[in-house]
Amino acid sequence: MQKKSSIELKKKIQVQNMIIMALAIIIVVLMAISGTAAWYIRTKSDSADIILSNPVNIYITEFEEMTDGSGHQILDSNGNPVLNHVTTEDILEGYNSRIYPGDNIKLKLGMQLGSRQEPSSPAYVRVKLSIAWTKISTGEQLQLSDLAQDNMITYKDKPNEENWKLLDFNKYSTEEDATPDYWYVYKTITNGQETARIARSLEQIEFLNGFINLNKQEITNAQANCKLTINYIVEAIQVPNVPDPIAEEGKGPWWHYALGDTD
Amino acid sequence: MADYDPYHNNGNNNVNNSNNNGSNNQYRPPDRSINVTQPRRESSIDASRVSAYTMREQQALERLKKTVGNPNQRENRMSHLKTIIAIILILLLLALAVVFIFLIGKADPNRILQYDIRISMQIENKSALSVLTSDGREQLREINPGDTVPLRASIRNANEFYGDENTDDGTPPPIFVRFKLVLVLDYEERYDVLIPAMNETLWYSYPYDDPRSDHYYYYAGTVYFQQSEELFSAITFDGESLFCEDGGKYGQIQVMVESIEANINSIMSEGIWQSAPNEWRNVMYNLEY
Repeated sequence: MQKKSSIELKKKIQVQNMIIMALAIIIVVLMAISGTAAWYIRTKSDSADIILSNPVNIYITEFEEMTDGSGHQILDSNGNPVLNHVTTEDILEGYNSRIYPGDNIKLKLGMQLGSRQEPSSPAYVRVKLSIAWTKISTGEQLQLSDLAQDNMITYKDKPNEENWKLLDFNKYSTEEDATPDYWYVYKTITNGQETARIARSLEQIEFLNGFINLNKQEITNAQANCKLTINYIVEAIQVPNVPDPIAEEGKGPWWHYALGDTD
Repeated sequence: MADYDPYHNNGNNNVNNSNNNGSNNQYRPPDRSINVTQPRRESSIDASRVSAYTMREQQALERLKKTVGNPNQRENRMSHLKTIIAIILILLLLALAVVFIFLIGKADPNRILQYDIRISMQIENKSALSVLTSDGREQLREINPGDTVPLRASIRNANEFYGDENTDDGTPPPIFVRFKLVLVLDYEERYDVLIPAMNETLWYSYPYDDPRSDHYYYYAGTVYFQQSEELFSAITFDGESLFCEDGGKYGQIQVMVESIEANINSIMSEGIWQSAPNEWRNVMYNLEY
């Protein structure tokens, strides 16, 4: 008899549990609904599809003059040597010789816009060489200086001035102690007017085929036993919506202080 | 028949036993019955002590029962408690229903009729996003960072964008409007890329990178029935926000417009569109009063 009443009690508790749960759920749902339904809101939406243009891709290359089977240079129709560009990520790879102030280093530097796998949009191109040195004993990186500033390293052979124009992209800075930021910009001359040349996808461009010189006056004991790092930096920027960096100096994203900037 | 008391033997029995042993005759006790109602002999246990011990045990047991409780009693108590909880919940439900009925009863019937909020919106000039190929096919035009596309969009307080009639229920109410403009690129919502050309004295929003931003543009004014308002007249793809990694991707420009009945109390004190810029709220307040 007592066992029977115990079972009935348990059933009663189960029913009560279910009732409480159901009531709690109803109240929560009602409160949520009444909260969200407090406002009459109507929405409409519309959409339009777009496609973005290809990015600009640029690769650094080292090149060599191509020769025929007998070892003679192959020339193009203009009498210039035909070059074979090899895409690389490490110029002077394996060049670990001990160097001294006054040494000359031979460089054959180029670039290629885009690749067959990753084509590039047309672009303006600029290049700079810079040098950093690291104290081998401490690993401390001491300084980064621009080659074009003619202090640590000088061009013994300059880039072809018919194709490259040296520009200081910090020349419109309003800061008193602004340091120059020199880059070589890929250029062309049209009707006697210098303009930036537009590089196209898969175009291979020669930048420097010659020697750079470690300046005897600028390199001192401070750089002794240091590891020198030559940085070869190439930049490409889309042509649409970007002002010609040569024809329209001081305008566009490459200039640190565009003309008219006040801060 | 002589009474035989096995627990109160007298000396005779013992004598007989010794005699029997000597003559090797087995002793056979006479027929007898045992009176179980009588103790065998006087008890050596102190009955008063036993009783006290038992009493203490019982008292301890009672105390334990009070502390732990009888399982049935405990479940009974739980059952009563749950009944009370259920009653409270039912009362709460009834109270909610009463409040709802009360609010409905107090509401202005004309206003209820005016909950016929209407809105139409569309992006115009989508053809600016496509070009015709040499063989006459239409394909999407490639967008460069910094491009400005003459897409425009407008909203209209009407069911149909190009016109709407009044209904028998009266004139639909004027509305407040806000819209969101987003570029979906690789399933990612980008609010930093699209810059709409709009009348900035009419549309308010926080900058996209402001932590308070909800990415909506709020219209400072009221749009009346069958009135249209321009959302933007062109869109610029911000060159500072697009990177080489974005190049060559397909995307979708989405415009979502939202409207509520034009009631200044709803945005000032009733908590709707709480994430709107304070500047817009102030402008709306000044317009109203």
